[in-house]
Amino acid sequence: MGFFDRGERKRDDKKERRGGRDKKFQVSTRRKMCRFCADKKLTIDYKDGKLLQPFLSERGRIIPRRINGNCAKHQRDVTIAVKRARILALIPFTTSQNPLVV
Amino acid sequence: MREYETVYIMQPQLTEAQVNQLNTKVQGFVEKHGGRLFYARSMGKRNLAYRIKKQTKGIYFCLDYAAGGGCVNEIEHNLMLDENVLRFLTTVRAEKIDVDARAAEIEARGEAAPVSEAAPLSEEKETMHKEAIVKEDVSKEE
Repeated sequence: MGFFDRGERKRDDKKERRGGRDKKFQVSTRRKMCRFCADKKLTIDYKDGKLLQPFLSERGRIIPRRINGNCAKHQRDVTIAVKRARILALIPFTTSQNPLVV
Repeated sequence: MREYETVYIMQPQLTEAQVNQLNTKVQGFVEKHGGRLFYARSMGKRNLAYRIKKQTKGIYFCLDYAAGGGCVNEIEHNLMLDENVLRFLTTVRAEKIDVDARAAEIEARGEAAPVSEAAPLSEEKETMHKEAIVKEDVSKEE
């Protein structure tokens, strides 16, 4: 019984704390706008490695759209472009443990 | 007919003459199959993001053309057999295409003419910049 009691109390604590944080969060939060929707001239091109760089993590992985703010459609396009650019060695599949001396 | 885009990477040590020879050969297939070449542009010598066939640099070249599937088959078959080609990638740009309208559109953008020098200014600059870096690298290595 004691075990469960403790568990419930913990959950309650969390709830309270999170409630407070949520309110603060609501004030500051602003949905990030998809940059390709905002700027229609911007096209996603797999031949442009620099354009794709903001959508990659340091290790070369694709950043999820909940973080980079892309809309679903453009995230799909970015994903395809990144995969093509990787084939053409414009961006790395992964950062190597023995990076090339450039 | 579809619009295709083929990018291929050549060995970095090729001379300009060899590069041109390969490019005209590939472009010849488009004409042979009754396709239409919209533009053929050099993307310059670039550093590869990872080693391919023990090379760290490659000469990039990009073709945009309208043709049937047979043409793509022949181009890819030839690129595959050519030892001077490190890698290639063909993508479909449009499923249905009005050839003349597309050609006019590209011409209007100033990217027309199936010549390797017909790269837009900004890209040329980048290429030159990159080549400058490459040259620096070479001098450092020496």
